[in-house]
This record gives sequence, structure tokens and C-alpha cells, in this order.
Amino acid sequence: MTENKVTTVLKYVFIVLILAIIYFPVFSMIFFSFNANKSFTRFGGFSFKWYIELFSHKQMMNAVLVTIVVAVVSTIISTIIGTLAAISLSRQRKVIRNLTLNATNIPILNPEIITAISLFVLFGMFYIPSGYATMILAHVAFSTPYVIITVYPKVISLDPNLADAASDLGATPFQTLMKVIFPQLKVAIVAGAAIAFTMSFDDFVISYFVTIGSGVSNISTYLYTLKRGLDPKVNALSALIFLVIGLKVTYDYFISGPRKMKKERLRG
Amino acid sequence: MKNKKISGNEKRKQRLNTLIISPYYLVLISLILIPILIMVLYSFTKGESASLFEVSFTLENYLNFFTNSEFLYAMRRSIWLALLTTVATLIIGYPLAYFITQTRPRTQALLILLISAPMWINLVIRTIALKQVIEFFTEIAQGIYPNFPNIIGTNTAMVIGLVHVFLPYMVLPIYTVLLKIDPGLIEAATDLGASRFKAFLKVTLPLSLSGVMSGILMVFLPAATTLVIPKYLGNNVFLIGNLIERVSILSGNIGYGASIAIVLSVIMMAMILLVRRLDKFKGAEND
Amino acid sequence: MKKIMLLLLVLLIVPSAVACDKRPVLTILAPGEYMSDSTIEAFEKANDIRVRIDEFASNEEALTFIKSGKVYDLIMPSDYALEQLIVENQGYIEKLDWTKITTFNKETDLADGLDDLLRKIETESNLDLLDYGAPYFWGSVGLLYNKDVVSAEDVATGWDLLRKGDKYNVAFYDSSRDALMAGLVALGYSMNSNVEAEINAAEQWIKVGTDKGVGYITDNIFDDIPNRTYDIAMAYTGDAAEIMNQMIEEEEDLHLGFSVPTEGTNIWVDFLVVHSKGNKEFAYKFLNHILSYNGAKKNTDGVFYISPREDVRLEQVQDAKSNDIKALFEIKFRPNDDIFRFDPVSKELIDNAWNRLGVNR
Repeated sequence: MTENKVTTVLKYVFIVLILAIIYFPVFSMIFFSFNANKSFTRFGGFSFKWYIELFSHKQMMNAVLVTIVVAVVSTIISTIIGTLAAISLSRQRKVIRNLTLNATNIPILNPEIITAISLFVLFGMFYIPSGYATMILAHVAFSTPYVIITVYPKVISLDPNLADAASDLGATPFQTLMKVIFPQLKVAIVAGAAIAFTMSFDDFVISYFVTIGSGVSNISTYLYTLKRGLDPKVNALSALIFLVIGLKVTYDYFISGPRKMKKERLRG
Repeated sequence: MKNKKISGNEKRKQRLNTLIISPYYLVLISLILIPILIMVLYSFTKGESASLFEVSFTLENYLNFFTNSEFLYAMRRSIWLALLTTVATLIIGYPLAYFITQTRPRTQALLILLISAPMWINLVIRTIALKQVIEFFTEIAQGIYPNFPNIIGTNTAMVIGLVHVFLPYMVLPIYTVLLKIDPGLIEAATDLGASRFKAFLKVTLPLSLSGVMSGILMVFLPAATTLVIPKYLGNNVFLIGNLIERVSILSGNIGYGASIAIVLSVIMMAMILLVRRLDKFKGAEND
Repeated sequence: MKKIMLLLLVLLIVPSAVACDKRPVLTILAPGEYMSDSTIEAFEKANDIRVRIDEFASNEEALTFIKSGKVYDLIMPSDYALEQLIVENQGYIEKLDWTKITTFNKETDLADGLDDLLRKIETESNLDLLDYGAPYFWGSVGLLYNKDVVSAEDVATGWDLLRKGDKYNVAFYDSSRDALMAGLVALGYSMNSNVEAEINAAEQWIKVGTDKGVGYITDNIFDDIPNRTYDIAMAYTGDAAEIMNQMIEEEEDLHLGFSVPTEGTNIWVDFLVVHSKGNKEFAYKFLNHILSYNGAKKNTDGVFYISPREDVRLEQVQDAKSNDIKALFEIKFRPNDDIFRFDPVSKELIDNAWNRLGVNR
């Protein structure tokens, strides 16, 4: 029994240690975001000034705006396209289905830099000016496959009898789609959308190549092309991003978690 | 062949089916497949012109790649770093995933959320944060031992950075697969007299291999081609990703950049096929 | 669902409030942090036009942007990049109509030393860059060093100072052209060499030095020299002047020197050029502003490169807070100094050499 306890304690220590190492840089950034001087290694007193400077810095705020807009728009587009594709794929002939699914795997397995260059070349060749449009197109291109591989497994696990019953009762295919299939897929669709949003918000390489020289930059490309080394405003920005994520994690865990479990208990 | 009477509803169903998948086919073809095709074509061209219609065709880019020592060196170094990273994330990530599966479901959910939350923070921001931390510790170390070397710029710093960034990508697939393993199998093994360790080795490990393969693929490829880590943690060294960037954008030689990207692709594809073969092989053994 | 919508709305409003602007735009393709806010604001107020600067990190990058078809109103290439655009004649730029410039007389108002530079190019290749571009800032390249740490004799070794990575903390400028220039010139070759053997020799020259451990910096020089991360850095005169000025203003106990090796250095000038497809009216409005005494004077508010206007340059010399800084506004063309020229063979050799060096860092 004692041996079990010792191993359990060791396991927890391991987990906590790893988590601590993962989060140390994040906490360090948050800590120094309140630094009165601009050093990243010596704390000189408490101050909110970097937050104030962050919000009044036109270019950085622009980058944040671009990141959010592109993430929202590309998520909506790719979720719709991807979900419809996943549903349709489940009804296609095996050959087409497998071919499409394999093709869908290509952008997922491809190293990002290859996708980035191919899009860079594509837009350059057809003289499509780099900017908002190319960024959104690129994000839709790499997000949609992820939506598909998230939603598709759920689609094929659906009970086909429900859809059949609906059409037997006189529903048009469109109605069946809206009233029977979508509601069942809601969880997977939301999951797919979440993945699409993350991939877009976080993206660097592809966004970099397709918006080069256009003056349009998202958070990642703006920071990468920032020439004057490390700017303390970055600490403030990351602290805020982490705050939003922290809130989401807390919400997921403490509020919707128990709520979900409640729902499941009620269902029976 | 069954003589099916295709009702009006069936026809409408098929039409709807084709309709709703067409936007995706548009995206797939125009934004994924065609660009790759164009890139392949470009890799056989030379010259700085942006239009494909004005350049000459040549194998020069590929020949240059194999004779230019810097590219082979960069590729070797990139692959070596990616290998180290993959092994490190496996050594840390597998036990982590395993221990997490042994906690209560609520704790599991929390731990998984905590592990994946950093993935939501931008890669550039995370790398900058790591650079600050490493510099901080280096300064302290140099205060004690003045001859302590600068860690930023070394392979060590880059591997630390890569492991830090890619650990969640290894943990999550392994966790997902471990979760699906029927605990009854392990019980059966121990009932039949195997020690817990042996049960792990003979039952859990083989069944979790597909998760391990997923993890390896999700870590190795991006780690080998990263642009961000060498810039901040590597003293701006040129790894294979940076070379592609320099050649395409700074030198304007898109054809050259495309050819490097394609050689990279081919190597990656070969590794994926190899990994897939191993997976099938293992899977067959277990049946 | 509704909560998500609300959150997104909030997330969108805050940044939009800061970034929104409805005035017409003048787009300039230029290096970052190379134009003072005060001169931009003065122009924006007087003309009700917003100035947007699309930044590039190097001339090579700028050329790639231009050739990808992106349209700007004004572009800011360096001498050799402008030469490339002129020689290649692909229609991206057009000749400068000096009759439309009323605030600057290119015969009489040019800074001392700048006209020598431009005449040199004209006599060498019958090309007057002023036909296409209005001069912007200019300067040269040298070694910024910490006087308290680096001995005078070591400084006297010229560019070789960069190879003393075992003795000091050294930083190269992360630019293929400038680094190879140091190597070529130290070995007695022309910085515009297109001879493979010479460039390989320069590459080896650099390799010996960098094997001892060096850093590669660009704009992070503004942090790294004051932080004493590096004792020696290859730097542009404007950057050096700015850092020296900052040390004096902040009363830092750091004494910096700037040495221009006698082996020779590169003297360069940047130009503002009208893009063939941009808004010409806006472009000339801006040129008249930036070339005027007021516009040029305001531009020196925070940018420490040498103004193209002689009257403004003299004031920069006067306002310099130390003799070291003064010297950075007075460039004398020595026999071994040279300007970069456009040469595709040379460019390719240099790029390849730099790539070879870069993978080994």
C-alpha cells in the first residue's frame, strides 16, 4: 500500500513539475508586464504603463484587430464549408470519399512552410495583391481540412435511421439537413470551429508568406518583423491573451463541465 | 446490380449532396492542389520573374541543392534538431499522458486543458517568453560562474524551445489513444499472472502505438521546418525553413525556394509512409 | 451562442476604435523607424492625407514586393536597388519630374559630400540617380565600440576588429552586403567585386572571425550596445549617432566611439522614388514636404542619419552633443570608400556566401 502511495505522489510531482516548466515563461511574461522599467530580467517596480502603451500603439492594435477579424471570418467560412463537406462525404461513393479524404490529409501533414510557399506562388502568379483577402483565403485553406477531420468521424457515427425516418415523414433533404443532422453534430461542429479559430489566431508561417509587403499583419507576423528586438508591450499583450484563455479554461472546467455532467445525469 | 427506382427525393438528395460539397472542392482544388502543382512547376524554373510564363525551364535548382553544401548542412541540422525534439517530447510526453489517464476524470479534464491551453498563445509570443527566461537564467548562472556559456544560439536552446512548444502535440494524441484502451484487457493480463509492468509492455504500449505515431508526425515535421525558433533562440541561424524564406523572399528566387520545399516534402512523405508501414506492421502483429 | 457573439463584438470594438481612420492614404514602401513621427504628422495635418508606411527589412525584400506587383505611391530604395530598377527597366518606376519640386533645388541645396557621391556614379556609368529619385537620408558604415573596453590599438586594426570575437563581444550586421563588404575591403578587393575567388576569400575572412563566436544583429543594436551585450558592433552612422546621443541624454556611463576603417567603407544614399502606378499627386505633395526645410528639419527629430539638405545638415552638426557625434554628420569621401553598384553576378555570389556562413552559426 505504501509503495502505491509513493508512486502516486511521484506521478503527481512529475505532472506538476512539467506543468510548472511549461507555464514558467508565461508567468514570467505576465510578471514583467507590470514592470516599471523596460528590462525583462530586472524588476524595477510596479506599473501599468505597458498596458497603456499597448492600447495606444496604433500598429499593435491594428495587428490585434487583423488577427481577430481574420480568425472570426475564416473560422465561420471554413466551419460551414467543412461541415457541409463532411456530411456530403459520408454519402459519397467509396472511391470519391477516400480520394477526397486523402487529399484533405495533404494540407494537414504538409509542413506549414510548404503550404505557405505554394500560396505565395499562387497569389504572386495571378497578381492577387497580398493583404486581408489573401490572408483570409489562406486561413480558410488550412482550417477547413481540420474542420472536416473533426466533424467527419461524428457524421459517420450518426444513426442513419434518424435521417431516413425524417425523409419517410416527408421532410425534404434540406429540412433533414437542418433539423436532424446539424443538431446532432453540434458538439463536433463547435469543436471543429474551435480548432479552426486556434489555428488561425496562432498562425505565423502561412500568414507571413501571404501578406508579405502588404502592410497587413497579424499579431505573429507583426512581432516577427519587429526589428527593435523585444518590446515590453509584448508582455502586456501576452498577459491579456493568457487572461482570455484562462477565463475560457476556467469557464470550460468549472461552469460547463459540471453543467454537462448535470445534463447527462438528467438524460438518464 | 439492384434495380433501384430512384425517387424524386433521392435525386434531390444527391443534388443537395453535390451542392454542399462543392465549396470545399473549390477550396481544395484552387487553394490546396493547384498551388502545389504550380510550386512543382516553379521548382523547375530559374529567374526572378514573378510570372510563370516568362521563365526558362531547368533542372538547375535541384542540382544546386545537392551541390550547395549549405543546404545539405541546414537540412541535416534541422532534421537532427527535430529528431532530438521528437525523442525528448516522447520521453516526457508519454509518461505524462499515461499518468494523466490514471487520475480521476475531472482531474484529467483539467490537466488536459492546462496542457493544451498554451497552444492557444501565439508561437511567436511563446518563443519570445522562452528567450527571456533562458536569458534570465543564463545571467544568473554567469553571475556565479563567469565562464558559463551563452545558451541562446546553441542547439540546446533551440531544442528546449522546440520541446516546450511541441510537447502538447505529443501528449494529446497519446492521451486520446490511451483513453480508448479497454481497462479490461489489462485486468485480464494481470489476472493471467503478468506483473503490472509486463502488462503495460505487452498490452498498453502496443495498443497506444498509433497515438505515438500521430504524436511523432505532429512534432517531427513542424519542428524540422520551423522559422521562429532559430530566429529568437538560435542567434538567427539559418535552418532549412529560414533558407527557404531567404531564397524565396530575400533573393526573389522563387524557383529555388520551391525546389528546396519540394525536396523537403519528398523526404517528409517518405518518412510518413515509413511510419505508416511500421504502424500497419505492428497492428497486424497484435491481431 | 449569444455570449460568444457579445464577446467577439467587444474584442472587435476596442482595437477598431484605435485603428480606424477615414482619410485618403499615401503609401510609402520604406524601412521601419526611418521617418520621424513629427514630419509625418506635419504632412498629414497640412494635407489631410494619412501616411502609411509599408516596411521592408532589406532592399532585396523591397524588390521582391515591388516585383510581385504590389502598388505603392512612393518607394525608398537604396542607391544600388534604384540602379537595379532603372537598369532592368520593368516599368515599376518613372523619372522624377523636378519641375514639380519647388522646395528643393538639386543644384544648390544638396548636402556637402552627397553631391560628390552622386557625381561619382554619374562619371562612372553615365547614370544620374537624381533623374529618378529625390535624395533621402544618407550615411556610411563603421564600427561602433565601447571605448572603456576596447583598446585603441585594436581599433586601429580596422575591419579586423570584427574578428576579435575571442577577446570581445562582437556583432556583425545581419546583412549579406555589409558583412561581405567588410571582408572584401579588408582583403584589398572592391566591395563591388564579382570575382568568385575574391568573394570566397572574403567569406573565409569572415568565417575565421565568426568561428570565434559573434552575434548577428540588426535593429536590436539599440538594446544590445547600451546593455553592453556587445562591445563592438558593425553599425550605420545614423544608428551610432542615435545610440551615442541616447547615452548622453540618459547620462549613461558608457563611452562609445565610432571608427571608419581606413581600408575603406561603403557610403550609401537612399532615394524616394515615384512608383509608376501610384497616386502621383500625393507622391509629389509628399516629396515637396520632405524636401522642404521644415519637412527635412522635422525629419531629424529622432532620426540621426544625414539630411540631404545642406542647411539642415549644418544644423545637425551644430546640434550634435559631442564631437564623436558631430563626426557622424560629416562624411568625407576617401580614396578607398565606394558606393554599392548593381551587379546580379556579384549579388548572387554574395547571397550564396552569406547563406553558407549563416547555416553554420
